[in-house]
Amino acid sequence: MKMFTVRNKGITFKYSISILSVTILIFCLFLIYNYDISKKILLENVEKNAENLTVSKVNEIEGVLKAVRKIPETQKSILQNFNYRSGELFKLMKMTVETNSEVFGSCVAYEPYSFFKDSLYFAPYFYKSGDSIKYGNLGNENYQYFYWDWYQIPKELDKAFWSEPYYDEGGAGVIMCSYSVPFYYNEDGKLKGIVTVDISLKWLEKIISEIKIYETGYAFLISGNGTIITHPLEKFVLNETIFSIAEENSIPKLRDIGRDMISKNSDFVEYTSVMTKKDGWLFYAPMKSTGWSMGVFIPSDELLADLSNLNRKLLLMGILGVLLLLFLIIFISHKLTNPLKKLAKITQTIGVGNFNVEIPFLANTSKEIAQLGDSITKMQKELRNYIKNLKDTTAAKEKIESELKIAHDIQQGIIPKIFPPFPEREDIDLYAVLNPARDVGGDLYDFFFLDDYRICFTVGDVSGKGVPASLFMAITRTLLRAKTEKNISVNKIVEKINIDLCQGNENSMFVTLFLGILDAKTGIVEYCNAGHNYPYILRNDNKLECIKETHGTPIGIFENINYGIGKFQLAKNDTIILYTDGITEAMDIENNLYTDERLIKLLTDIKDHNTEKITNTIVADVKDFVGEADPSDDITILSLTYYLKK
Amino acid sequence: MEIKEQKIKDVIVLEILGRVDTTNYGKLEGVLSDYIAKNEKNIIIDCSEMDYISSSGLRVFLTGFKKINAINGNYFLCGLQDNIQEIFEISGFTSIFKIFTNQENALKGIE
Repeated sequence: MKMFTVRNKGITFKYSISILSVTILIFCLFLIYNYDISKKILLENVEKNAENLTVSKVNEIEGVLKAVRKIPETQKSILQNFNYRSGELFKLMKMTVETNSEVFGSCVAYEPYSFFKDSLYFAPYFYKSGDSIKYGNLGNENYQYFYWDWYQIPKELDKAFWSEPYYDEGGAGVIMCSYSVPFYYNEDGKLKGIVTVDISLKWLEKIISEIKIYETGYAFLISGNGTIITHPLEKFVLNETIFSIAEENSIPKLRDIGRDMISKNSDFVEYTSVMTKKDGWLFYAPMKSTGWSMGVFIPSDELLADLSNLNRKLLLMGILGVLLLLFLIIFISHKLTNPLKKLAKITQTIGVGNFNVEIPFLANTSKEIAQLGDSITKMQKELRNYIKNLKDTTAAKEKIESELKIAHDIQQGIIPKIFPPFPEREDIDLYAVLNPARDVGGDLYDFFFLDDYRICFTVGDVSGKGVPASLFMAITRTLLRAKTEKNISVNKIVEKINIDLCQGNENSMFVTLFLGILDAKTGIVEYCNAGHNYPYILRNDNKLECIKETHGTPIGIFENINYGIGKFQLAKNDTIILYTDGITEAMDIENNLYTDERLIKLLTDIKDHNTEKITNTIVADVKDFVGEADPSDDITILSLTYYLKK
Repeated sequence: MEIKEQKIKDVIVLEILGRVDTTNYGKLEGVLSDYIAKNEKNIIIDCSEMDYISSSGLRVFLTGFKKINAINGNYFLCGLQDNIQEIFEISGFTSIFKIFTNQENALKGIE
């Protein structure tokens, strides 16, 4: 199954993935940073705005209330200094309600029996009802105004007083707040009565509701003890306090806020609206004159709407940008990889041996691609030349090889190859092998009868291997046949060959040579050993002897050398074994030598005098020893057994 | 095969390490003929670290000997290992070359 890995994808894919990943990462970081910073700045602004908004509204209401307060303050001094008749008082009061739009109603309530000596109640009240001004007298058995807060508290406190909002049962039947000012007799300073102006809660609500804060933001007012005075949710008004709401909804935080608000503090806090269930911020500030506090709630989603909007736009732009980048990368990559693909296809064609495929001109490509194209063209040319050279060389090599094959056949042809060589003779048996390490070699063997009884036999080894050695071997063998005369001694033959070989032998080629002549009548062997390996005699009783006598250096080195002569006697069934150092110095794969010791042991154990068997046993053992290694030298063995038959 | 070359006074001492066979005798032949071309007259070949020598290697030894001999120089071998000494004895090279037991003796031989 083919695994999905990035490695198997093309350049386009890899570049797109890496560049886009980095771009998206940078963009996201930017977006997050931007949102964070903007939010911080926005919040700072919002706090300031909320503060300004709240404080200005507080001031506005305070201003109105201050104006309202002025009215009974003024009336107080008039009422203290003049003893109005009822008609004049009514006129004044009606005018006050009429001319002051913010005033809902006004009352002048006298102490019992102080206006009319016979009347317990005297509290004329003028109030707005639609477009007209209505009159009512507040005092009666069911409404003993002396006991109402708006009357009793300023009387007891002996100073002006803003009442908590209340439902007025005596007069207009609306929810209102009253500002009550006590007035006194000038003579003794005793309380004469209380003058009040009322403001309708509806009017206050109207002012507060005019404060527009985003879509679902709102403002509310609480009294000095936490009662809700105005609130967008009408059921809260006068029915709930900020603390009862905190209790019902289990919002301890709201209780803390409430405490802080009635302590006449201002603050900006995070808050979740009970009404809208939205998260947001609450700013509150006190109204000094009434002891009330105003709260402004700003929902965060609307506050941050602009920011979210901005981020959405940025995100959209970012996505568009990334897409644009993607198209650009794909476009560039294609432009880059198309010539590469073409070149890859061409190199594939070249790879399967089609060197003549034409490489198209790669227009509008980068410098590197053009260089690659040039390189491939150059490679193609070099390959063509190389293959041509290879063909020529191979042809030349084949020619040389076939010539070497012929040379091999010629070389094998100049040594006697037919065994047994003398089938008619019962006194001598002889077998020989020459295996060159290469096609041609520098070893040689030869044997021939000088007359009816005397047989000349030789084994030689030319220094080195290959063609030079084989030529030198051919010369040596030719010289041997040429220099051998009927009654010449072995050392003289060697001396004559030596002299001829030394002529013009610049490279110091030399031949180690063992030359022997056996007289089959006597079994005596006369021999000359020119630096050649010691031969062995395997006696009839299987004892092995080594002929260690030598008579000088190999031939071909110095012209004026006199070689000596050696002699030994062969008895019936004795075998003489000649060989070259290709046997004893044969090497296995670890470059170990075959050694004389191994040859000696092999010959000792063989216990046979059949020349063919002896020769082949040695060859087989050497082959076995060499194993996988390349043949290091030519191998030559010549064995001769003397049977003493006349 | 490795050949360590040094010159002690006017004697070139070539120390052969490893095997001299048909694959590398050319290198030795090159080194020798370079010195001879520079008219060096005294050459000692230290064979104490030479493990094996083929007939091709012997031919190189011989060529060097003939050339130095022709200009009446000194061409000494020294430190032959036993198996190589034997090859030299069989081939009669012990009668051609001047062979010393070690480098020190060979240097004395030149003095």
